[in-house]
Amino acid sequence: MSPSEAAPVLRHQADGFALSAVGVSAGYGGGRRSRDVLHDIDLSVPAGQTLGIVGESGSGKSTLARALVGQLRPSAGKILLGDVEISALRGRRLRENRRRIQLIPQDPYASLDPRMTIRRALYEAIDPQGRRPAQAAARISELLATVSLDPDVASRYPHEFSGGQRQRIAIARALAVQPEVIIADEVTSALDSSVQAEVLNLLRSIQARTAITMLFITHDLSVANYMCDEVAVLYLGRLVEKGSSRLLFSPDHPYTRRLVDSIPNPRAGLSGLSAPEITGGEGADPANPPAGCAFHPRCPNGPRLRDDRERCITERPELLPRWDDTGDGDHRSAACHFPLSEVRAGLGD
Amino acid sequence: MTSIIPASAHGAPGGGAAVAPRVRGGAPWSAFLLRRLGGVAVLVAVLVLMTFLIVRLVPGDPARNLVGLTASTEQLQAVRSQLGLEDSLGQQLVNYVGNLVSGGLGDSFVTSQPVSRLLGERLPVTAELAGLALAIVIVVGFPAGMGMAAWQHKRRVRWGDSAFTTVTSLGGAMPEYVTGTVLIYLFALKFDLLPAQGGAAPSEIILPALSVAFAPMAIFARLVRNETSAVLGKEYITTAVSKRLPSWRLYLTHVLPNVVTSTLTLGGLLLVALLGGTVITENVFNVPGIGTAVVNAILQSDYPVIQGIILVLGLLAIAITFAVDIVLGLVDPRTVSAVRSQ
Amino acid sequence: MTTSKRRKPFALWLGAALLLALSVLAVVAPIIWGDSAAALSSEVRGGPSAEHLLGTDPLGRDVLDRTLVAARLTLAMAAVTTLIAVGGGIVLGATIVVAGRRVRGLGERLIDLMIAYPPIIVALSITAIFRPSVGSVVVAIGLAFVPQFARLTNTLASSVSSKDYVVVARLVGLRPTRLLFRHVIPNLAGPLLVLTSVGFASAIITLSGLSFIGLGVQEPSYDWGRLLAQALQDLGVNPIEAFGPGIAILITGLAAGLLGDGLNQFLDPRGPVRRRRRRRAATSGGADARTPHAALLAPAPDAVVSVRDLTIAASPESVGAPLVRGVSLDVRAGEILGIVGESGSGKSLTAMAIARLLAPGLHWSAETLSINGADVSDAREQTPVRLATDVGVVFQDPSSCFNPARHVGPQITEVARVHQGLSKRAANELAIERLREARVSSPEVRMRQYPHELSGGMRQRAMIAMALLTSPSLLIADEPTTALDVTVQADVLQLLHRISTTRNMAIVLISHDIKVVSTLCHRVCVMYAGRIVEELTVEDLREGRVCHPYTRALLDAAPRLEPSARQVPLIPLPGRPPQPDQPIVGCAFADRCPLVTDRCRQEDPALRALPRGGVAACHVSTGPLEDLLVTQ
Ligand SMILES: Nc1ncnc2c1ncn2[C@@H]1O[C@H](COP(=O)(O)OP(=O)(O)O)[C@@H](O)[C@H]1O
Ligand code: SF4
Ligand code: SF4
Ligand SMILES: [Mg+2]
Repeated sequence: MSPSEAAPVLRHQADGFALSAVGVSAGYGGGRRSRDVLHDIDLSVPAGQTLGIVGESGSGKSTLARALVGQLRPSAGKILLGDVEISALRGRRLRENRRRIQLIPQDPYASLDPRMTIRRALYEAIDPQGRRPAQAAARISELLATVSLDPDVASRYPHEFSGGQRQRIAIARALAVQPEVIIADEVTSALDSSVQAEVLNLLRSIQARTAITMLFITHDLSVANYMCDEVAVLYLGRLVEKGSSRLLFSPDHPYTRRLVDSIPNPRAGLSGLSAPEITGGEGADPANPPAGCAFHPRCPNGPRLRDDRERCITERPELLPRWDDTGDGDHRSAACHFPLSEVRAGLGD
Repeated sequence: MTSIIPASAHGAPGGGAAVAPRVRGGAPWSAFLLRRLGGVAVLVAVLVLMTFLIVRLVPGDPARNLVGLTASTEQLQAVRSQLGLEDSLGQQLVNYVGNLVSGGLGDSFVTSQPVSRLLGERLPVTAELAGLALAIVIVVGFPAGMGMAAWQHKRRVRWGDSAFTTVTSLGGAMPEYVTGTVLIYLFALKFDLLPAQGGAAPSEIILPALSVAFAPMAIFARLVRNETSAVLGKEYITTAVSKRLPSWRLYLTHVLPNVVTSTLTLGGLLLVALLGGTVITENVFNVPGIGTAVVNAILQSDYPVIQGIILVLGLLAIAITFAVDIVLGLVDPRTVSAVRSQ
Repeated sequence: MTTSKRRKPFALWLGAALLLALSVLAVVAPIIWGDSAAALSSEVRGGPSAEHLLGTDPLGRDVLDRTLVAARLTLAMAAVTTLIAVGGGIVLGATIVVAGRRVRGLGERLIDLMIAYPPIIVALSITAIFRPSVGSVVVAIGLAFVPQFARLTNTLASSVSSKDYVVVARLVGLRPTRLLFRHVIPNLAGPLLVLTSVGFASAIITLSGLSFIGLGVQEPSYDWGRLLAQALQDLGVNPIEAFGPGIAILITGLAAGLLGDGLNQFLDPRGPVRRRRRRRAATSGGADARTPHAALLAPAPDAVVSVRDLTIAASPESVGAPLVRGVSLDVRAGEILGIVGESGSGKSLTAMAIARLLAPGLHWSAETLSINGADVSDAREQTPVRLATDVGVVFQDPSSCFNPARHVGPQITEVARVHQGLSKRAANELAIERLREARVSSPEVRMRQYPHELSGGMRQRAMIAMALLTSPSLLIADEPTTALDVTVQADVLQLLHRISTTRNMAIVLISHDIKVVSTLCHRVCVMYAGRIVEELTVEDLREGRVCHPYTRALLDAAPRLEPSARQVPLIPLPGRPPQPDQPIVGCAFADRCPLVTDRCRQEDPALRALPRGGVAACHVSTGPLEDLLVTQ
């Protein structure tokens, strides 16, 4: 291994990150037809913290989750889990290390085998080789108690549960593996908001108790704000902004701003919502994003509304560290030629 | 001959299109056609190879089997050359394909007639039979299925669905040779209304066509019923209902195209299966079509005739499948653009 | 939690019993009747008699005995054929799924192509090669069916192996073989069993067919097909001869088909499950009496929509246990009324009833249902055509609201063309104008596109344009933004707001998201278990001056985008709303309510004006519940 390749691994370990993606690209379709929908992702999740991934549908959130758990092989870059480069492993070594990172999928109706009782599903997660059935019973009760379900339910089948209960079972199964990292992919979007709160609180309390590292994927910024220490914003397969979740209240990137302003805010009413955006930029293909800054066709500060911003079309902005004007001393970075903080700082309008 | 056709086509192109890619320009149609034509080419090639192999795969020496053990070497050689068995396998294939391209299918061993003449005489009869049967299947099955679904949608009679299912399962389980036997008994022997002998004349073709059509008609009606109920439950039908259109317009412009789309995929298989039914039924009524010819040819080891007929049957099936695909592309725009994303 | 007993369908029992009886027959028949079936007699082609129930054949043999004896050969052939067809199909189909990506794509295409050949071609070719015999016909038909089974197996297996639970099991560290045996195969077993019985039915019919035309079993062996062929020869003399073999083939084919159908129904999770008829215990508080809410509302002559005492039930028998119970509301011109509540609370049913779009089969009644002053409350009457132009409807999922087989344009213009007799040109111009109003980019192009060529947000805007086409006085929007991204949702909400002000239009907006309704609406009705439990102005809602514990709970459970939100834990709403088949006695919210008292469990609270202000259906609350936690 050459020193330059080893460098990210060392930094990743030295800084106490549980999970890092270094220059990861990934996509679908094999051979000539392969199309990357995720481009050059760099991110790190500090151990014991929650990183939120936010973005519109189709921005690549689930693809990122699949790549991080090894369900999808990245076409470039590496994924580091603790002390191993998991993206380089295959076969048995991969299987062993896979248990260190677990996924909770979005749809609670598809994530449990309809022909397995809850007990068998949990037992399989505890002990996939099926060697020590005797010790498992107590652990299964304990897991069910953790997600506030009665231990008696273990003998039932998934179809006997509601969506929220199934999602709690899915969480229990992920915990059963005792992973270092959990990736929760839109776990509450199929649930009613009254049930959503229950699942969110459960995940928060688990995290507070076990100091597990969590990657929390959501399209709802108010949920991200409630759950996450840090957030990363994905647009058409690229990270456009990342940093402490406080950045949601003073974003640097116009896309983050747009997301934030789109959240209905009862206190502010309609006036709180951002102005309707210039149309025509919707439905872009992440495998074939616009040139330069991928957001430029929709950007309210961009070239479609300002003549002096040709640069946004010709040159792709790098994800660069920004100074933070909120006074919290947070680190953050944004990929924009004309960040909003500079506008706030006096350059602008 | 029945075919294994599931009762519903959900998940086929008729299902909901998720995020279909946006299509620009007119390229998708040519891509779609090209892909389909490629499929046809492969199918024809496999078919030709299959008929070619029929003679070559016969255990032992087919020529010897034909002429018998007592025949002279000259006779044997003559048959060998007629079968084209003298050259190397590759050369044989080249000759075979070459003959096919120039329209030569060889001569029958039994009658010494050119196979093409036999086909010319018999194919029209078979085509008429299959065509009439197809017409019956569609003309009866489609309205019956759609009407049933529409009626159930409106009235929801509790026994309605199970009665329909029972009747169509019973009907669909009737093999054509049993139907044919019953029809001959009733209409030819008991009441003497129609001849038991089939042929090309209108009176001679009714009973055979009914025999071929009977079971597929029931299966088709059931398929159409299921698809129509599924379409009637779709949200875009609620949208259409909110427009308070006259019912004929609702059914004609909103229900029908979508039912046709989802029915065609499986209906195409059913059409192809009709060919098998025709072959068998011809033998029940002794219809002078290619179905009776092929059975006689097999019993007499008349290889050129066997090859010719199987080739023609196969080409017919391929043509039907291709036509169904094209119609599907015409009625369902998503089929065409889906080629891109594949 | 619902527990449901699966009912074993009748078809399953009947099919299995018949097949079992037939197998027993196949084993014992040749032993018992073997000799008598071969015995010649002088009674040639005899009709039915006491000695020969089904008559005799040209050699004077007993047809009934021969039919019974033939069961063994026929069924054995069918069994082996099925084994070849299904076994070959499964192996081929599964191999393709397991194989690498390239092999897989190629294999799937090949199978797709092979299906184009009718099985008869393969069967004829193989019998031509090997000469007609028992062996060749079995192999022929077995092979002929392989592609169809391979395709079905392939489709099934790939759908199972891409399921989330398989993905998750792999992450847990299951070895591929274990994954296959534990998750994939058990979930395939059912459908494959169905396939096998369908295959058996096809095999028996096809085999007998080939024997019938002389390409199958040869003399002196006989199966049912041969017997039937002989009977056809004798049909003029001795029609009864055909009865035995004909019925035998039919029954066997049918039995296997029934077994398949039955298994299919039995294994389908959505299939007929034994469920008691939905029935709620009669609601206390009286479904018969006029609900007080209707009395509470003053008559509103200026209302665009006026509803009093709307009740919807799933069937005539369950009118005493309705899905929607006594809903009353008014919407005035220029007003946006929000209806909010959890899923299943009856929001959509209410909205659809107002638009007179309830699914057939639902039973509803209303004391008043008037739109623009016209009374449309008679459920038996044909819906007045003017509702098409007076009421516009927008649904949740824009991807399924447009007819996928037609261009967008004609769908948008349809109402104006049909009901207002507009020319194509005029209608198109109108449609383009509306599309522009709904902020659809390049409307002329969209008109000529298919729905699937538009993005989700674009489709929803086009849907709104379609609803607005005839300038209706009422727009009903059922969860119009739920399927959309937040950015698109914001645009659509603003669009709806602009429409209501510029067109002075009445809008009913339905959402499960209390933040959405409180952002856009003027007035809000909160629904729970089929009733309106609180009605309030949006100012009260925004300020949190809500009176019903359920409304309070909805607010407390919704995360907010505020810097302090992380520090204030959300308060989840425990439990679930009552299920439709669950009896409701007293207040439907009692099981989840922090303020519940004994009275709540006995008496259904009426919607009433509370002493300290507000309108809510609660025994305990006296006014705004600013802080439920403190009250607790
Ligand atoms: N066509 C129907 N037949 C029987 N029950 C129905 C039908 N449609 C809805 N329901 C039932 O009515 C209740 C309310 O449903 P719905 O109006 O869809 O609620 P919401 O709009 O709040 O999601 C639910 O229990 C649902 O199962
Ligand atoms: S780089 Fe330009 S177009 Fe992109 S977000 Fe920044 S200002 Fe907008
Ligand atoms: S009536 Fe009783 S149970 Fe119902 S909401 Fe009021 S306090 Fe709660
Ligand atoms: Mg709803």
